[in-house]
Amino acid sequence: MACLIMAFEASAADVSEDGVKAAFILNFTKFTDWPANGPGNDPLLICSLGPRALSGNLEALQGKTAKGREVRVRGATRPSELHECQVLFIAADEEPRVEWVLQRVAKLPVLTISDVPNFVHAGGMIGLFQENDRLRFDINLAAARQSNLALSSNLLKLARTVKQ
Amino acid sequence: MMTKGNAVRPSANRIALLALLATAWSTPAAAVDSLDLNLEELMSVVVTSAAKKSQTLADTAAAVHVISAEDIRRSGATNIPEALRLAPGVQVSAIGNNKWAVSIRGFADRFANKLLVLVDGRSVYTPLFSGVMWETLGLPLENVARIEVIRGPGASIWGANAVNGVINIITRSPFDVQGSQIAAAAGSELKGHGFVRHGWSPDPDTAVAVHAKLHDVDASRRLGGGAGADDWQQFDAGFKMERLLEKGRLQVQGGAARSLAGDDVVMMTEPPAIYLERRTQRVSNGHLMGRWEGGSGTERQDSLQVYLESSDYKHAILAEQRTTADLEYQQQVKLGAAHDLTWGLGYRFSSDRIESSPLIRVAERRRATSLYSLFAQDEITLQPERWRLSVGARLEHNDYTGFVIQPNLRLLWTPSTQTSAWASLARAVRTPSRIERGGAAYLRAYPLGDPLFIQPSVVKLVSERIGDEQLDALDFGWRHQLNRSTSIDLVAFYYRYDRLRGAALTAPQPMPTGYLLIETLDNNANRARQHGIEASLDWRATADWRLQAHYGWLKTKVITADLPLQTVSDYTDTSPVHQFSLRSSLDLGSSWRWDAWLRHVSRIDNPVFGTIPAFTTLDMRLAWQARKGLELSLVGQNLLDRVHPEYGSNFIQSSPAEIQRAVYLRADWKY
Repeated sequence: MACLIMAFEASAADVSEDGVKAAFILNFTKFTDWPANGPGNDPLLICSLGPRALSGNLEALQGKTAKGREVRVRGATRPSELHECQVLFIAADEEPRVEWVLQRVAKLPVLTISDVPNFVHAGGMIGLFQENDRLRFDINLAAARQSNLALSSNLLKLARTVKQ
Repeated sequence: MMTKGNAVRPSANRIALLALLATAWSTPAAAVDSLDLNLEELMSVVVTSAAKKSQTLADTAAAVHVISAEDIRRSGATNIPEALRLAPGVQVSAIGNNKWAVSIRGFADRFANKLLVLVDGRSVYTPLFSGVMWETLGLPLENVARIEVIRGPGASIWGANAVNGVINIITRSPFDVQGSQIAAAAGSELKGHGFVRHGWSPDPDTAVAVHAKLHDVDASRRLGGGAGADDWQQFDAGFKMERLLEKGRLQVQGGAARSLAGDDVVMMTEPPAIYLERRTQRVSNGHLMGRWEGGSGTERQDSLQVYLESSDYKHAILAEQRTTADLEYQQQVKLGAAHDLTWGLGYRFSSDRIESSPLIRVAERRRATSLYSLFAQDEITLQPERWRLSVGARLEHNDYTGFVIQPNLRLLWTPSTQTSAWASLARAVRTPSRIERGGAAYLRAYPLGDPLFIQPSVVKLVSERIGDEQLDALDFGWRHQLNRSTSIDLVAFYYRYDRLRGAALTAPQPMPTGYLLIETLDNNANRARQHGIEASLDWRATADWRLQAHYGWLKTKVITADLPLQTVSDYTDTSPVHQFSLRSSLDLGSSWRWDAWLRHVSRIDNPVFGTIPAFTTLDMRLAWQARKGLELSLVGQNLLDRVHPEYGSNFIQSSPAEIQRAVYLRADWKY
C-alpha cells in the first residue's frame, strides 16, 4: 500500500508555484550587478521576510552558486539585519508591511523581490505575478538605480513592464 | 473566493484556526529540478498548483469564513456582533441596542452557551453563565485584522464549549498600523464614537501601537412604544507590542475596558413579587497577555502563551469579580512527508467572588476552578494534492464533570485546483457553567395566584448537578471555483445532541407565609436533532463590483424528555429557519465607494418570548476618499422600516426592545 502511494507521488510531482518562484529569484541574481565597493566574493545572502516564505522552497537555494558566489539563505529576517542582505524576498504574508520595509532598504544595495500585488508601484524592484498559468514579472528600474543596482538588459527584455 | 493574500493565510504569529485546520502543502523536492532552468525556460513552465498558498481556505476541511477588515469597514458595522452578520450561518439577533443573541446553528440566546469566542487566542467566553457578554468586549473594530468564523464543532482543538462554532477575532499587528489614525462618528443611534491609535517602531525589530476608544449608543424603542433603557457606553484603551527575534517573535498586549449598559430587568423574588428594575450593568475588565513563537522554517514551530485577566461585573441580577490565569503551549512539527502533527497543553485557573441578588442566588460565594487540557491532531497526506485526513482529539479535565474527550475525524478531497469536498465527524461537549452547579433563579412569580393554584406561587429553578451536554456532528462541504470571478461554498450538516440540560417541576410546597414554592429538579434528559444547509456565492462581477450572497436553512427539533412535569426545554425554537444576505460592494471611480447590504430573517416562534415576525433590512454606506489619508462616509442601517423587533430575552428577562432605523456620519483620518 505504501509503495503504491509513493509511486503515485513520484508521477504527480508537478512543479509547484513556490518552487518556480524560488528558481526565478536565483535567476534574477544572475542578471544583477551589485556596487563594486560592496562585498565581492563573500556569499550572496538571500533573505526572506515572513516565517514560511515560499513554503520552504527558498531554502533549496542554499549552497547554489550565482555569479561565482555561494548562495546563502536566511529566512524570517529581522529588519535590523536587512543591510546584510543582497536580495530580499518579501512573502505575500507580509503585504501590510511592504511600504514600511521598502522605506528601510530604499538606499541600501538590496534587490527587492516579491509576489505581493502591485509591488513595483509600491517602490519594489521586481514584482512576480501569474498570467495564463505562467509566472511573469515587472521591473522598477528607477528603484534599482536608486540603490545602485544594475540590472542586465537581458532581464529587462523579459519583463512585462519596466518602470523607468 | 476570498480576497487573495493575507486575509486567508495562516499567519504564524497568531493562533489562527486556519493554521491548525489547514497546512499548506509544500513540495520542496520539486523545486530542485526547476532551479536548473534558465529564465526563459522558467517563463514557460505551467504552474499547476496555481495559487495554492492563497487558496488555503479551499484546502480546509471545515465550514470556515473569514471576515476581513475591509469587509467590516465597508459594511458600516459599528460593533462586533453587527460585523459577525457578514459570515454565513451566523445568527445575530439584537435584543436591544446593547444586547445580542449571537449563535451558530441554533441554540441562540443572550447567553448562547455552545459558541466559543476568542480574541487573539484569549477566551472571552464567561464561565459564569456560559456565553459571551458582547457589550463588555471593548476591543475597537478599527483594531480587528480579521475574524475567522468556523461553523460546527472545533472542540478537538479549542476545547469544551466549541460545540456549534468558534469565532476567533484577530487584532492587527503593530507593524501594520505604524503612524497615527483618528476616527470619529456620530449619528442617530450611534451618538458618538471616537478612536485614536498611534503606532511607532522604537527599533527596527520592534513595533508598538497604543489605542483608546469611546463609544456612546442611544437607547432603542421599547416594544409597544416609549424609549428603551438600553443605552450603552464603552471605554477602552490598550497596547500591543511585537518584537521579531532571531528565530520567532514575541508579542505582549494588554488593555482595560469599561462598559455601562442600561437595562430594565424583570426581577422575581420569593415570597412571590415581580417588579421592573432599571439599572445600569457596569463591567470593568483588564487583561495582560504574552506570547512567544519560535522555530523558523517549515519543520517545527513552537508557541507559548500566557494571559491574566480580571473582571468586575455589577448588575441588579448579580455581582461577580473574577480573576483568570491561562497558560498554553503548542507545537507543530512535520514528521516525514505525510504527517503534520500539532499538539498542545493547557492550564487555566479561574477564581471568583459572587454576590447573590433577589433574582439569582449562588450556593458558594467564592469558588476557584482549574481546567487541564491536552490535544493532538495529525494531518495525514494520503495522496499528495488529492486526499488528506486529519485525526485529532482533545482531552480535558474540569472540576465539575472530570475527564472529557472530544475526537474529530476530517477528510478532504481535492479532485482539481478548482474543487474541493470534505467531510467531518466530531464529538463536542459543553461543560457546566458556574451558575449551573450550585445556583438558583426565580423563573416565574405569581403574587396574586396562578390560575392553576389558588394561592400565590413562585417557581424556582434550582441547578445543582447539570452534567455535560454532548453533540455528535456530521458535516459535509463542497467548494467550487467556477471561474476567476465566481466561487460557491456549500455545507450540509446533521447533528445529534444528547443529554441537553432540562428541569422537572416538583410538587408545590406550601410555605408558612401562605404561598406555594415550586422548585425544579435539574437533569440532562432532553435531546435535539438538527440538520441544515448553508450556501455562499461570491461573484466579482467586474473589477469594481463584487456581490456576496449567503443563505442558511436550519431545522432544529428539541425533544423535551417525556418525564413527569418536565418543563419545555429553553433551547426550543430560538432560531429562524431561513436567513438570507446579499451584499454589493461597488467602487465608483477611484474615490467613491458604495455598499448595500440586504438581509432577510424568517420568523421565530419562541415559547418564552413569543413570536418575532420575519423581517428584511437594508444597510447602505457611501464613502468618499476626500484626499490621501482622509475618508468620509455616510451610513444608514435598518433602512426599510422605522422600527422592528429581532429577538426577546429568555432566561434573564429585560423589557423587550425594537431596533430603530439609524444614520451616522464618519470620518477616518490617517497621517
